[in-house]
Amino acid sequence: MSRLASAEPAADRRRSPQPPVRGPSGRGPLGRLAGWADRRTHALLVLPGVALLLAVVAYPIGFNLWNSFTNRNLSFPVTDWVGLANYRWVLEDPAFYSAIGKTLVWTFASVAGQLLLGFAGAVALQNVRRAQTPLRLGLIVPWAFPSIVLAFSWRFMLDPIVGVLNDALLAVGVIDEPLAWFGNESTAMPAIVVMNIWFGFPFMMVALLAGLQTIPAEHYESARVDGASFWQELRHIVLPALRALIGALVVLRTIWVFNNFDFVYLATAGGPAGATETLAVYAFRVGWTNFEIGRMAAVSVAMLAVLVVIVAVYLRVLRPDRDEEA
Amino acid sequence: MATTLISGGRSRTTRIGAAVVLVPLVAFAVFPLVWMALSSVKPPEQLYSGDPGWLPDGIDWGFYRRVLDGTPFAEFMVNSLVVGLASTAIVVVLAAMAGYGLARGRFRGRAVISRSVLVAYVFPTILFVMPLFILVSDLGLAGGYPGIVLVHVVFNFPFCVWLMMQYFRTLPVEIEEAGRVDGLSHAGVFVRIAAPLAAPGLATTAIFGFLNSWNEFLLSFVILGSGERRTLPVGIYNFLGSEVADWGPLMAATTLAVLPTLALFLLVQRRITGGLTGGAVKG
Repeated sequence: MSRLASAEPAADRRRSPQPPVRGPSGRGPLGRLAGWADRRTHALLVLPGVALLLAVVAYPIGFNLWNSFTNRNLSFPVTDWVGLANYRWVLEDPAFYSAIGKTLVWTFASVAGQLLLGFAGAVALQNVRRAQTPLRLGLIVPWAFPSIVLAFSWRFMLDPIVGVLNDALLAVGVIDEPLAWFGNESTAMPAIVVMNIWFGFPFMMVALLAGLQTIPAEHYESARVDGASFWQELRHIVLPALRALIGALVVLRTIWVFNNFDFVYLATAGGPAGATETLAVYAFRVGWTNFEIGRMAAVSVAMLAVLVVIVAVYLRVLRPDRDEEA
Repeated sequence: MATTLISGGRSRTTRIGAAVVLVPLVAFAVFPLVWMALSSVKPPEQLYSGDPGWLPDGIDWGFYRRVLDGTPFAEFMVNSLVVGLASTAIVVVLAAMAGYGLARGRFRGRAVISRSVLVAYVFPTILFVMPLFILVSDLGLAGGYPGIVLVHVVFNFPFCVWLMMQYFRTLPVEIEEAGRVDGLSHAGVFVRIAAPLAAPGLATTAIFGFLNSWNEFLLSFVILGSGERRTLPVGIYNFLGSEVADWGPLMAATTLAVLPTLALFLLVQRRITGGLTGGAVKG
């Protein structure tokens, strides 16, 4: 593209419907409008996006806050103001407290497991050359699969009648009779956590491997001269170098797992007897199964309060307003 | 032992150590999905026998035939394609516009908007599914394509705009300045210079927009219900409605559902892994 063609203030003129000979002073109202729009192009381009952001965040927050004070129900046409009744109902519902506990177990056990396996995998993968790329690529693929496929592959595998896990465990004598892993109160939560670790550890592994590869080799060499052991290298070189990355990963995964509805709902639907009913599934049961929009809104506000705390940490750790990073 | 496990020294011990960790991890990672695919081609007698064995006794496409001929699976797939393509086309355009505006603009409120993009990205679906459902029903759009396309655009936007904004920031601003000097308006610079230069970023965003839409369950489940516009995840979910799951056809259906993802992956391997590890695709 030629840069010399017209170095004059042609920029403002080109778009205006006026003949180019007339200077900016002679513009009609249309020209002025075009000039105004041109100066604000960037803001105007963002405008539809702002509407979408409002639709996905501001409107739902407002909707939930407002409706949490009403008895809105999908099966009744009339909605009344009920004050704090929904909050009282939620705070008196034992299932709500149970859901908080389940959410904590689900979130922290999953993230810890993902991090642990991911880290072990990353350190091991760092030591293989030829298989590294295919493994990195291949293991991350299921990350992009529909959650229903992932959950159902596990339901099939853990099925009490045709499930392969029971077959295998019976064959080696670990269990005496087939178990319904997702259908048993004591095994359902561990089972969905293991499923979630399975889903998430390759992501951690790939991200941590990328981090490991940024540590300069000299750091290890000097440690080796000092006769550092594997664990000492881990503690004094690797962990300090990866601290920021691990922090970011843990915060991000914590938010996703806390938010996750699909896995739990598709694997166990919160059952048996609420053994895996996390807050997201609880909110869904109240709002969708019972059509209690008002009560679901109150649950949502409670979830929101928890999220505000996590997101505040998240914004601090990731600092999205830092411009030049790319 | 003074080995250099972490630094990647390749002594015999470290290689064995790596294998001891990796082999079970890889087996754990691949088994459920490989098992799903293997089981989907087993003959019914074998799958439902008490002892199904590891490998199929010969490939039997019977479960696939039952899924494709006996259920509306193909229609669900078409629905998913329509919704995925339409919502992706819209969201990519809007995300490119907003991403460019946020990357290059210097207007007031820009920092606030960038920040809310990131907040919107982590905002849980469960908190906006009901408000959006009510909104879409009030507009009379529940159950049809326009409603679900609109909702998928909304839900996909934060991530897509984030990708586009990052991409535009990597482009050299000098080329755009040259365009200004040549007399292009700001809009002209965006359409004729920045957007074409951002083609790889647009492609990545389109791939992820499509995958997100293809995979999305909760919003489609609530908004499409059991109507005829059901997308694939909702359709597959309904297969399981009966008390006793028919695992053969179900595994054939789930295997079919990942084929488009696999095809995309093989097509653009490097781009997709880069995006995935960049934190893409909600989970």
